[in-house]
Amino acid sequence: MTEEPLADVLLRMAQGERAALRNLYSEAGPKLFGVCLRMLKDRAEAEDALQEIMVKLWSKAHQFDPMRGQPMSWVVTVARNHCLDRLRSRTAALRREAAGSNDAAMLEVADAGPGPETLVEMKDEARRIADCLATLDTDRATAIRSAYLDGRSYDDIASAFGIPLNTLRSWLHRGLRKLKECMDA
Amino acid sequence: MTEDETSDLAADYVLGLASAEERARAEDRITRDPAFAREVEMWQARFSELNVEFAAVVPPSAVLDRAEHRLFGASGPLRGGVLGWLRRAMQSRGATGGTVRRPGPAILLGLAVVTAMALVAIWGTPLYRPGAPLAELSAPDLQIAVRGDSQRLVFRRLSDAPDPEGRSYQLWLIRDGQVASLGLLAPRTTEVSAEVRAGDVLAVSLEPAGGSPGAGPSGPVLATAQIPSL
Repeated sequence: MTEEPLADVLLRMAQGERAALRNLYSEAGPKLFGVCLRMLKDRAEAEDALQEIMVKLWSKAHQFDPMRGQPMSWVVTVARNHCLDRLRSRTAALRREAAGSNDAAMLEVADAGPGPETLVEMKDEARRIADCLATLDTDRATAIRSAYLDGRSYDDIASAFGIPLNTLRSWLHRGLRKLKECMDA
Repeated sequence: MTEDETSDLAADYVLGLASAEERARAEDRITRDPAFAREVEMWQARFSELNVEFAAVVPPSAVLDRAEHRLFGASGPLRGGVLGWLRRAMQSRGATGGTVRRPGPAILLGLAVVTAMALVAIWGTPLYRPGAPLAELSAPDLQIAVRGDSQRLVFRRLSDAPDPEGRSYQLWLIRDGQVASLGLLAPRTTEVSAEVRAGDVLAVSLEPAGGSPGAGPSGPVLATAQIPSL
């Protein structure tokens, strides 16, 4: 017997079948926990966030539309949005503390792009974005990856790169437009 | 706002570059502006390719327990050992790709010994007043009242909803981490001869037509209930 498709699990959740939450946890829990750990960088907070994400997914399951997207992408989006909300609502004081002295170093370590061997191993579905990110200059690609995977904000990246916010915005937007053009081609 | 600017804002939102206020504004706009909502969806699809880089890490089961408790309260799925046992049973099914381990002779013997000891202890002593419901198994589409005594159980379905097409409901008795099938749930009333004692757990699962191919539940466990201590 193969694992039940995630779309079916979401459907059963939408119908209020409590047991389906456990199926969701065993099938998507590890991925979602990985999202929380990577973005929040704190195990206790990641566990806390995962609990709230499970509660959210239970009440939002009816919003999933299998015609419009992959179920795993959808649950990851819900998880990422929850983590982003947490990151953005951390108080300024907390953020300053977390940023601390090694802000630039952390950005560098966390966001070093995949090495050549990883690129080779990377699943086919990730090749297109990897190829298109490779057409951007390294700093821009790094900033975009770190925003998506680590939840870095404009403020974080601006202070890490030591450039004004508005300069960063237009600099990144040029990169994003190029990325869009490449991926939609 | 130009098309490019709309796309920029959508990308900012999806990437999470935006501040809390900007995020709130974007979320509001998604509900009012279909063009913007579509841009957001397209950026989500583009970046979802990066999801392979989130490394999967198995989370502790306590997180699920807490989420269930918040959603379903105390009436939710079982706590503690039995819940853990059920989850392990479900996981081993997934991990082995369908080959369900049959219980070893030692396990069956153990269950028989435990049952015999229980019988000696309670022989002839009616545990429950006849007619008083012992427990209820309650799932969204299935409500079952359980009556009986220490020798037999009677499961009566309270709703007329038919079984899901091509599936059967199966009843289980769980004691000390061991599970025994009580057979399939009949359309109205199901009577089962079984030695029952306080603390036993009853469960109902959704199975392929005809029942689980293995010794334990193969499909989702829909509801559980504990025989109350008297």
